[in-house]
Amino acid sequence: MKDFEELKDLWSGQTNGPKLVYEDVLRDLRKSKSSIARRMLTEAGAMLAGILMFSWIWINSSFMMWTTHLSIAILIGCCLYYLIVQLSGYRQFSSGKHLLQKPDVYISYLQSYQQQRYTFNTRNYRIYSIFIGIALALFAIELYHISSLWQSALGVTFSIAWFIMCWKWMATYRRREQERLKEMIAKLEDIRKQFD
Amino acid sequence: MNKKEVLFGEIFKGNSKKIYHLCYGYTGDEAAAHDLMQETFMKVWQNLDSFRNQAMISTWIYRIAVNTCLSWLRVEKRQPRDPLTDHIIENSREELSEKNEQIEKLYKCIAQLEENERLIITMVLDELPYPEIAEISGVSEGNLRVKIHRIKHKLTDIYNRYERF
Repeated sequence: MKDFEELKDLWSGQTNGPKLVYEDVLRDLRKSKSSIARRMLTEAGAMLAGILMFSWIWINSSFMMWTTHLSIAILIGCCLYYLIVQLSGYRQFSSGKHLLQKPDVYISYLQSYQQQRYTFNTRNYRIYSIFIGIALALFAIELYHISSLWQSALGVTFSIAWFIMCWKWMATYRRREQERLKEMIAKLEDIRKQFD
Repeated sequence: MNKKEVLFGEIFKGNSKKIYHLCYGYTGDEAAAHDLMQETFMKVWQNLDSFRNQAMISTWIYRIAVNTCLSWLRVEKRQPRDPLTDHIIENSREELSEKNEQIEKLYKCIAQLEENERLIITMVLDELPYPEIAEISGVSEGNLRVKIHRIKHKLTDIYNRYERF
């Protein structure tokens, strides 16, 4: 039988310690910083390339119909939206200011952050896909006028198939995320109560 | 090495062991404890400029460590509690010396506590003053004393229960 003081002696006598030294932390910090920056740069670069490409097509091609102009404007808007969301997401991710708050406040922040991410990955993605769909449909009007029937049919079939595939994938993702989120929110709520 | 790195090195040397114990007590897992400790000090580095003039830097580091531990379950589905099975105790007997075995067992017992209890008791075991623990955990000092009293009993009970095996 041991009392708490004996457990405390046991604790203070432990020799195990961290196997890390601060140089390791600094090295990993630089590595992770550069990998985040690289990923950020790649995604931002891809989106910027998309914006530039659509802009170039818009300026240098003579379209017959106003629907095509609207289609390209929507596509550029979608790329810009994605770019801004990604950049602000990384900024939020890299700042550690929330960690300085009291645990119950921090847990509330985590709950709302998880909810936000879920909303972004589900509702916002749905809206984003609808806009891309509208843009493609508007473009298909011009395609129908300038291409042969089988080319138009092929384009439309491919777009629809692609949309169905994305939609099914998203439905599975949404269901899985919803379960995970419910469990996590419940766990966080349980922890938050412990700090009352 | 610049001034910031020197300061960071001093802070790391002065606090890393206690932060490691806190993370180990919370997760009950050595590898996870290292990951959490590393994450904590990365955040310390990122926020060092804003905290340079504060008196109680250890309180600030503990606060980051506690919050980092709490967000641990967010990354993936994790079960921090590792029940003390006979199998674990058997293996411990074979592999560890008596004292290390007792320490290992103590960590496993801490892992049986609630999340906030694990964090608070590791700070108590590391002899942090109660006002500092209250400041880190955000629990009022009066409430904290009651909690600590209860957790001490709970931990001692769990430990003695398993020692009888």
